Amino acid sequence: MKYFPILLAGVVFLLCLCTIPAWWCGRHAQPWFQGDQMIQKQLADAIVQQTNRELALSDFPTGEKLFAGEWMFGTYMMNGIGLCQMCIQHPEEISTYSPVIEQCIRQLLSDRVREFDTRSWHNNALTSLENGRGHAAYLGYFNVLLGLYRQIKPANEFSLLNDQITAALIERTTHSPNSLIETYPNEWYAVDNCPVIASIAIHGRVTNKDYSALLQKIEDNFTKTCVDPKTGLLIQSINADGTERVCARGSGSSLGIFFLHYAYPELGRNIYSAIKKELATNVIGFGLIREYPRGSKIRGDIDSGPILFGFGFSATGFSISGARIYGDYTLFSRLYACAYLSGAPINTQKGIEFVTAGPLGNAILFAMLTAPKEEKP
Amino acid sequence: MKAFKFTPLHLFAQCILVILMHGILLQIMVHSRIIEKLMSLNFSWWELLLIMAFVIIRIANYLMVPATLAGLAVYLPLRYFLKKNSSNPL
Repeated sequence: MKYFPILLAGVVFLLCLCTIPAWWCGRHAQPWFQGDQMIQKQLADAIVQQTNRELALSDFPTGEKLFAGEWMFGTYMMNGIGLCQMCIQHPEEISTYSPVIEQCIRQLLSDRVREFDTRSWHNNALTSLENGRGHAAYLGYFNVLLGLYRQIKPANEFSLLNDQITAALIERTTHSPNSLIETYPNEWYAVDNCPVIASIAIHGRVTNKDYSALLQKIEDNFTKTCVDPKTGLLIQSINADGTERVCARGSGSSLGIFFLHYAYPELGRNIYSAIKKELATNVIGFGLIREYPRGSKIRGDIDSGPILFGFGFSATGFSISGARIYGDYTLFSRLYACAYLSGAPINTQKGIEFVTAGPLGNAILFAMLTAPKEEKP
Repeated sequence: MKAFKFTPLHLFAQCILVILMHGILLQIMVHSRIIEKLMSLNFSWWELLLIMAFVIIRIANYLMVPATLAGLAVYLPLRYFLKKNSSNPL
């Protein structure tokens, strides 16, 4: 009888530990999942502030100029994509956010934002569209934004550029020995080719062009080359001959499906299922995604972000989009609870801001949380 | 000298301390850019230390504090009730 209060308190402690924190941290998951306009606007307002304040390389203390450049590019690109996705879901917001999206596009066209790509290739991605090679990262991601913007504003000043980049990407994909476009000279990344493919599909949709035969051919090659037959995840990096260079991992696979579903919803769903099977874990109601399949002891890098007990920050954040796209509310709410716990969102005058995420993290979370739900046929 | 005895009141005080420390560290995180360095795996030992402290305090704040307070909310009245009953069996 003496220990009864302690025992009962212990049971209550454990029960509360397994329920209250995840419930509290995930309490906004439902409105995000449903695409609630008000909650999206709160984060969008912080994104607008971030876009209006001109970012500099010094905002991204990565220690390397290439990565700082990539992060600045990624921030504007994700900001633009997130705002486009929001406008597609809530067309009444187009007039409010289209000037900001145009600002993102202009920033992405500026020399200072493109410098990381220009420096790596020793040539200009936009002036070498005809007869050029590579530039998958810059052209692919940028072209997705141009395509989505065209979807919400069909006649815009960047439509011609969208046509030209799409034509260049089709040309480069068709003539590539391994059906992929290089990100940097002699570096082929499956994840960077997902936006390339997505942008072609989006261009076809907004211009009513039939790319189905081309996309089918690319899908056959892409599945053969880039999907790991053992795990079903996306192989991170490929050699020129199409063999694996860097093994399949969580961050690449989860970011890949964010883009891939525009072209190949079925393939995206299969990769999402593989992520759930091979990498997803539930710890007292919080969803976590491993960077590498269980048993692997490979360390993290700039793409994965920090890895804690095998769980990747990037992989967990990117997977939110897959859960939303494929209507998996259970995993979505768990991943959102984890993003809340680690991202530390606060309400500021600017709107909602994830304190620990920084400009890129906020941009990524906004894009992932507003990812479009799969269109049912 | 009287030996220190850990009581439920100390546990309660610890919870309050964790909540306060979480608020302070959150403000430090808001006004510094340490976390961006962590994301890029480019940080010094003291930045790592500060981030570790924030992570531990944040986990304690969200995971341990509510569960501990709930446990105390059950334990304290129950102990009081049992003590009262044992000292006055009638």
